[in-house]
Amino acid sequence: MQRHERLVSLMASLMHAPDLVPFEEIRRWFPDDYATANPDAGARKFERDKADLLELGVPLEYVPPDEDGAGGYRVDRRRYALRPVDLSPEEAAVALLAGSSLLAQEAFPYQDELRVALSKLLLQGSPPDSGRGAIALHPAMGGGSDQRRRIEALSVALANRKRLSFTYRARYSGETSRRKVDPYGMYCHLGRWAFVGYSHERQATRAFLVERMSALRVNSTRPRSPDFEVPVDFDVRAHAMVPPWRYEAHDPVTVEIAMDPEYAWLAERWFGATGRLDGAAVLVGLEATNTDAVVEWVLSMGPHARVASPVALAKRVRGELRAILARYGAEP
Amino acid sequence: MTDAQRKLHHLLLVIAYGRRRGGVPLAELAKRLGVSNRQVQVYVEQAMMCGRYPFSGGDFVDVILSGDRVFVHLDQDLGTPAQFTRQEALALSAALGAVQASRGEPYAGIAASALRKIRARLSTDVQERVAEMEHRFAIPSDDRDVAERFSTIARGRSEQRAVDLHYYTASRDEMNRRRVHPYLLVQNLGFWYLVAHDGKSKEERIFKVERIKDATLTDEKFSVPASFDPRRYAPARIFETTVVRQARVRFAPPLARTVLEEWPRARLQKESGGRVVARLDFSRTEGMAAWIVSMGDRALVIEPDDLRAAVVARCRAALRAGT
Repeated sequence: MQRHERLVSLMASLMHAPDLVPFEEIRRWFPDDYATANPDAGARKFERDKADLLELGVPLEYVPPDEDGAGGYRVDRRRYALRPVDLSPEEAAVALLAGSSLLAQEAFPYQDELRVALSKLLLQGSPPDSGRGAIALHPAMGGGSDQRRRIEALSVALANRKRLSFTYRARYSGETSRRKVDPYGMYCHLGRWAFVGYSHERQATRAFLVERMSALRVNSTRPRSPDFEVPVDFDVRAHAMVPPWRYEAHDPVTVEIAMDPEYAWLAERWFGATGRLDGAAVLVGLEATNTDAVVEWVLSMGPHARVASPVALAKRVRGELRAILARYGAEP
Repeated sequence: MTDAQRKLHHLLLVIAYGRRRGGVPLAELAKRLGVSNRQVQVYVEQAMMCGRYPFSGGDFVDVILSGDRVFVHLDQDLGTPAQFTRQEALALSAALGAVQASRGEPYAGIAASALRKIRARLSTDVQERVAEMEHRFAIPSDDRDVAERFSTIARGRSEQRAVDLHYYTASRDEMNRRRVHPYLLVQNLGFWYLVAHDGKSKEERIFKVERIKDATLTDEKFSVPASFDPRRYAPARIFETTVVRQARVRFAPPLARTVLEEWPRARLQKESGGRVVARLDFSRTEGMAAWIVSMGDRALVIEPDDLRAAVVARCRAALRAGT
């Protein structure tokens, strides 16, 4: 009998049993597995099976003996079964569309679980028509099997709150160093998987790109005991949604961008600000802590945008444009 | 999930699906479980070996494979799927949460209500664990303020009505107006794209929703042609059709290091002084020039000549405009 066959049979037997079942009785049910020559080996096997069933959400519980000596294991049938979720056809279709999209993402960390969960949902009604779906999600770029293994390890560490150590190649400085981090949260943004955690080296919360990690180790001592607490007010979205001009590179600087009125809406949407008409231009104001990103955006807009203030930043943009022309041997 | 856990789930799902009236096609089960037809046959054989103590004649699960369908006549209490586990609930939550966070109405609202119903069915301890993890796992969208235009387009798609767009074509650096027949909305790497028949070019085109200034629903009706294949817009292929030309661009440090670390090696050639030359695909000269200029003097076009000229013209125009 294979292990998963035994687990199914153990579950079915405990669900059907009218009373609590002591381990001695369970040994009799599965003599080849639990009533081994070495009783400890059989007991350890049962403990492993029990842990797997609990991990899968099977409500297997042990009730200690009462004064009459009656005690043992049971699985409550009612608590085991999934109650109908009763999704509308539209909700089921969106769940299937969203789920199928993420299943197509090789790096999504909960692929097996998502597949099983969707199968359970779809059992409850007729499958919605998704063959010609109206939407699709492709949140991440592929990253190969190495990336997938790293993400899987990270997601387990995240759920169990286990400390990580890894080698990290910083994106901006290019420095490589060994890091020890308590992973608080994980996100996928602009196609890249990243996680946020407390860096013991920096003594601060930092974000790390998964693709830049190597030699990842998850603390394996006491795997079921968390290594740290996550701050109660932690929200990974606050870290994932930081726009590039708000990266912490320097003190805040108030910037005004003068836009060609026809294109001003692009700046308003990108920087989340409302512009005001100023002569022939629309001025869009923002506060930046990383003016490199502002310069990059203004340069990309060509003649439709310019920095109105501060003067130093406007000068920097003009300097960049002249430097580009010089590289091509062209006059301004 | 360990191999034994995965197989246990599969075995239980084979039993639960086989219990449906009329059984279940083998191929459907294989698709749902993400395994081969042969593997489903193996599960059917294994399910027959499962049952309950005392394991006599009527104690085993009665499952058969008849033709191409799986039937279960006696499920021994295993025919109802188990409650969602913490990881399953989190996976569903991530999938539906990504749609909810996308701001793409009406789908975002539908995803939110589906999530509410699923959460209500979680056991208390799973609910608590999922609630704790929800602040720690996210697939956020980068599109800001997209909801209004998205809902107009989504309505056009579902009611099969044409939509008029006021659009910024970055590749030509121009604002224009066009009428489109919306076929599909795809969120790729955090941004929404509309795949539609474009009345201007008379072709299927991709539009970035962020660059749509206004979208207006019209009364013109259309139908999605049978030849439309959403699979053409799968992650690796979404922009395939727009690539027509190639450029060689030299990157200087420190940008060169990031290029070397993150871009496909086959397209890169290392040079002395930490520089790197990349072969890049592009469709429209203006759009490519805008992107090259955004990197300042750290990116230099080696060829083609018309792209070099476009970069120079763009810089001059920006300086003339008072930048």
